[in-house]
Amino acid sequence: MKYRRVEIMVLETSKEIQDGEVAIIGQGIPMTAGAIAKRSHAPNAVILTEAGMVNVNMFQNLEDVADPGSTKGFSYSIDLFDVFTTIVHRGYADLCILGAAQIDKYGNVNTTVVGDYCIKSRSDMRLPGSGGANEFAGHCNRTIYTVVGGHFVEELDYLTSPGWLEGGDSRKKAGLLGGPSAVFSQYGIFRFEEHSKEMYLSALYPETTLEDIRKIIPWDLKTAEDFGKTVREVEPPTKAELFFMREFEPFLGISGHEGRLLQVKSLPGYYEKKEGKK
Amino acid sequence: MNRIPELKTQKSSIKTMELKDAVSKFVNDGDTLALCNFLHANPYAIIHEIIRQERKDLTIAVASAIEEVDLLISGGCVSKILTSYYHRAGGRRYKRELDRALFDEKVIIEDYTNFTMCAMFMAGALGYDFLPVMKSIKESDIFNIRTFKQENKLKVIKSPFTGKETVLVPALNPDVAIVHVQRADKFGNAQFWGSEGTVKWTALSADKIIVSCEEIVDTEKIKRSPFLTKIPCFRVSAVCEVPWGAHPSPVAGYYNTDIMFRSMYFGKALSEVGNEKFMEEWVYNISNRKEYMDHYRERFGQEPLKYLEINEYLSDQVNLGYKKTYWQDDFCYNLALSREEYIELTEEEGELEL
Repeated sequence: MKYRRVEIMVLETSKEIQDGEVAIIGQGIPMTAGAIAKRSHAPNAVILTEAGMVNVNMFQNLEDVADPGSTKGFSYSIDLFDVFTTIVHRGYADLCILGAAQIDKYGNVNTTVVGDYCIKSRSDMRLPGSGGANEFAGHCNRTIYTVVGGHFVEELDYLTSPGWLEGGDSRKKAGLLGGPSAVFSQYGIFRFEEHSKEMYLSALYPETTLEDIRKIIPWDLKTAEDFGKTVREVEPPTKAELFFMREFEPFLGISGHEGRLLQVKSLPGYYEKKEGKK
Repeated sequence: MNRIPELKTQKSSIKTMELKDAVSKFVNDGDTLALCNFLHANPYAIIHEIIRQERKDLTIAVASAIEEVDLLISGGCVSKILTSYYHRAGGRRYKRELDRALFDEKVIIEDYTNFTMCAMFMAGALGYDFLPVMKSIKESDIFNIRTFKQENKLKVIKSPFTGKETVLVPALNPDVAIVHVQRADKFGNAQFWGSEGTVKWTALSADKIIVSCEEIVDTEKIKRSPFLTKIPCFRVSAVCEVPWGAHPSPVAGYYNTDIMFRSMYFGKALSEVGNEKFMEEWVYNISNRKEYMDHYRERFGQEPLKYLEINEYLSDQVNLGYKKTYWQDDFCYNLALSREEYIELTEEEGELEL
């Protein structure tokens, strides 16, 4: 049975949510990971989104963070301000799962712009922006990133969400809680060294080598072995896991999940075809 | 600037009107226009009307934007945008209205975060000059890079109580807020449920509020679930009954996202020609939402609408309760007196005589 790299990435990401934890999920892939955790190993986790739906138990993946139709109700309906203040700012959020377009070795992230902020040339590209990410990354106990279609960079074009800042105790000095704890790419899993806060390779996906990883990382990447640990080899997903996940989010099993490209490309055609019939 | 509280002249009365009239009466060129809905029930009908009435030079304030702001840019209505999120699809090769407008310097964006946008609206709604916000924004380029808000984007002070460094956002009081909700009464009591997002604070921060709703219901129905009312009648300028007023975005309890329609828009919006075609077909050649839906059915048939149907998941009824009257069978319960005893007592204690 064939599967895609992004599928194993989502499964591994979902395992970061422990049962009973309060977890915030961001738009896109993070949402799928959170939903799967809730429906499998963490039934008592409290999953919430910034739109104010707290304790959702989705029967399919949400379309966006404000999609109430993919869950049969939720137990606490509040607004966006309450989510950020009474839950996140007070320190009740155990973890958040967010996407990253550019990420540096200390887990600082850019989701605002690639290239010049003022869009001076055709190659500069406006990204969605912070959304809720800045405060989630700055105040949740653990921040988990998923990188699909994004890049590991030496220097960010724009710092949207603070990670470990310049490493060491710089984040603590800035007065921010928690910090990034793991980064899930399509090739492997990265974590952050306890003292220097530098990103290192923690696990490799099946059929991926350290050389593949080094190709996507522009700095001299350390691995778990540098700290006396071993680089874990991630087991391939089971058939049951894959079936379950695809029921949940059919887009994952086919290419072009990124940005729902598939919809953009094929569905206008759906309408054009209908027009032709007339 | 010291904002002196002034007695507002907005009163409660019947506020129902045609959407056309509401927009021409309450939205002016150069206004700051706040979009209340957060990815849920986006007020497309009102936006289309604003575009048709060719409002110019608007400053759009919205916590999270999907393609509604693209439409406003296409209509030439926008000069500035205050936002924290702007939905993008497809990556580098796919440019939309925003990309073209930024490149041609037709619009300027000031970046915030969802939370700080909401905090600015909240400060405005509460009548404060500013509100403290979470610290993390100070460690980002959202704090460092500023466009048209300049030094008034964010400020840092020492807390006068603890001496701790505190980041502040200024209050935002838009001229007019537009919002789509599930239902309202003719006075404008607007009820909204599902994901609440920023609806309440964005609406209450504005001077004028235009409400469009799926249906106008009796006030008696509103009173049976007062906790669903997010905007009270005396704050609303106009309430317009516009079924399907948020299509293609979802409305909890009414319809689902029209993913296919949105994808069609993304597809068309990639080129200037396609974008113009879309605007002609779905905005300019249409005069109201009824025509819009008629056109939809004519173009695609009834079939795509089937996918938008939602299943019922009813709210449980609770007993809000009301008391017995003070007088029951000639006995006054709150004084524990019979009617005779009461008459005797009032005779005894009266100071003036008829």
